[in-house]
Amino acid sequence: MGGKAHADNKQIVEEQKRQAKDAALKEAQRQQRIKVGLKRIGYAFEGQPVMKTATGTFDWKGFDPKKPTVGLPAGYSAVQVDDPNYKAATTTGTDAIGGIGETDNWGVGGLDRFGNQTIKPPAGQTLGSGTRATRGGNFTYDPASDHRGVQLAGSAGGGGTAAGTAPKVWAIKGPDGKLHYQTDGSFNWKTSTDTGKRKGGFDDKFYNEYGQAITDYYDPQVASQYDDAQRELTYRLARAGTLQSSAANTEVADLAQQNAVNMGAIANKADTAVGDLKAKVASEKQKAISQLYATENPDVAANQATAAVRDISLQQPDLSPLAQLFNIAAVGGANILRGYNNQQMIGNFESGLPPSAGSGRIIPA
Amino acid sequence: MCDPTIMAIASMASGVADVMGQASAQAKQKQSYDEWFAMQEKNRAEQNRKQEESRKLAEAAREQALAGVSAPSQAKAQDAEQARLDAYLQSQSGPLLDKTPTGAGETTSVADKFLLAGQQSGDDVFKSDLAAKINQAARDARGRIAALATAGSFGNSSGGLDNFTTDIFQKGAQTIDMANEFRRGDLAVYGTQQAVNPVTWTYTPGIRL
Repeated sequence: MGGKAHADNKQIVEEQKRQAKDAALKEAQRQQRIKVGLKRIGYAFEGQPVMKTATGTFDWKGFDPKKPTVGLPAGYSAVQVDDPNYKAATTTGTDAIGGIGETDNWGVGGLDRFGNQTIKPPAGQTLGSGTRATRGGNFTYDPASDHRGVQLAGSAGGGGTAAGTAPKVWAIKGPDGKLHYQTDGSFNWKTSTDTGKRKGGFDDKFYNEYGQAITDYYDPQVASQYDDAQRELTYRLARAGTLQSSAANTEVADLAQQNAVNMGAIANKADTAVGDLKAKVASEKQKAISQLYATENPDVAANQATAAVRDISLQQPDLSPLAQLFNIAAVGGANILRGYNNQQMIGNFESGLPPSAGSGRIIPA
Repeated sequence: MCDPTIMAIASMASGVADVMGQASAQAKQKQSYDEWFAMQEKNRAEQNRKQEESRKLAEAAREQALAGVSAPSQAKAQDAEQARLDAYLQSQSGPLLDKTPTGAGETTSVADKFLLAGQQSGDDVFKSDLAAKINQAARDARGRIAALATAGSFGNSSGGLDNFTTDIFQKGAQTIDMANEFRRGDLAVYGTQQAVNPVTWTYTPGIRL
């Protein structure tokens, strides 16, 4: 008696294939989750793009196949696709390979007795890409040939899709993937474009407010110290009797310069703090992304991003009181002694000098 | 007892059937290997395509980051930041720079804003002297603040090179990380695809008479 060929590991192989297919599907979903997660993190930190919606009507009359991108709304593209109106003729064959119109008698479904495919379409025709045939009919082997079968009388073959390829036509593909064919005529389009503006996230306003808060804290201290320094200088100059002198002007201008440089330094301190804050924001974003990869779950990553955003919003600058900023010239102390000495000198030569007109007189340059 | 002739014919027929069956099994095994090979070939091509796609994504990000931190790009960024920071610091530096015009046309009227108590009665010579000194002080202050802005723009000001380069590298690294993450995942999938075995066929002979 004859033996039998059988597959040893068919079930195992099927399971392996199923697992590989599952793995591919899961990986595709994981990558999609990561992309969505990254997008959400971007929105949380940099804000959501503000989109502008535009509508219009596309007229095929202006369409030039040589310049298919000209005149298309943003997000729409011109593509060449199979003519949707092309009707593939369906025939009912009278043989095993119904549908391609063969007239000779081939074996069952075009298989020879060894199971090899022997379909050869007739001259001038190609096999269609659709269902080849609903196999039908009963066949027996042709005793004269190993490769051909003979259809039994009265057993018709099944139907099939005729050979041939649909012609290509132009269509406009929308952002949603919908195709608008030329034969359908003009169509209304709707598109949204990025305005370049952002809503939410850490914008310039956020950073400016942070910097402003720092300068608002320090500037009054600088102003107060400047006032004190001016007052102290006034006293010292007055004590020395040099209030209206060239030396006084030098000290006044020096204090003004110190004030300007100090305020500039405070502004620089605020700007540096803003830079630190930006670095912190970037660091928090990186943490959220790392967590996204760790969890591969966009929701968790978005929550992390939101928490980070909250933490940053609560961030406070390190505002410590300023030390003594202004150096005031030691006008008084030195001049008291000099004034005393001058008086002595004046006393010594009083008889030889004209009447005193005061000290610190400005000599025009 | 069976007729030996019949036995011999039956044995021969069985032998012929075995030969045909073995041939059939071999054909099925060949087809199975062909299918497996075609599937592996397809998976390999698909994997190569994905790996190449991710590699290109990472490479583009790396090149973009490299271009971003190139010397000309950093010089341009530093220039822009220096100008921004200088303007910002000057605007925040109080009355001396607010009230004092820059360059030609400096006016002596600025002196009035800086007079101390008791100096208001000073004559024009006095006030002119103060105005000249105030204007000089403003020039000096502008120079110092400009130097501060220049120094800051090279370092850790909000748009300085510290933040500028860090931001570029970080954005590049984020894209590279994503591409690597995808490559890692795709490779894992490819591993499972490679582990799929071909179907093996065995021929079991019939009963020998």
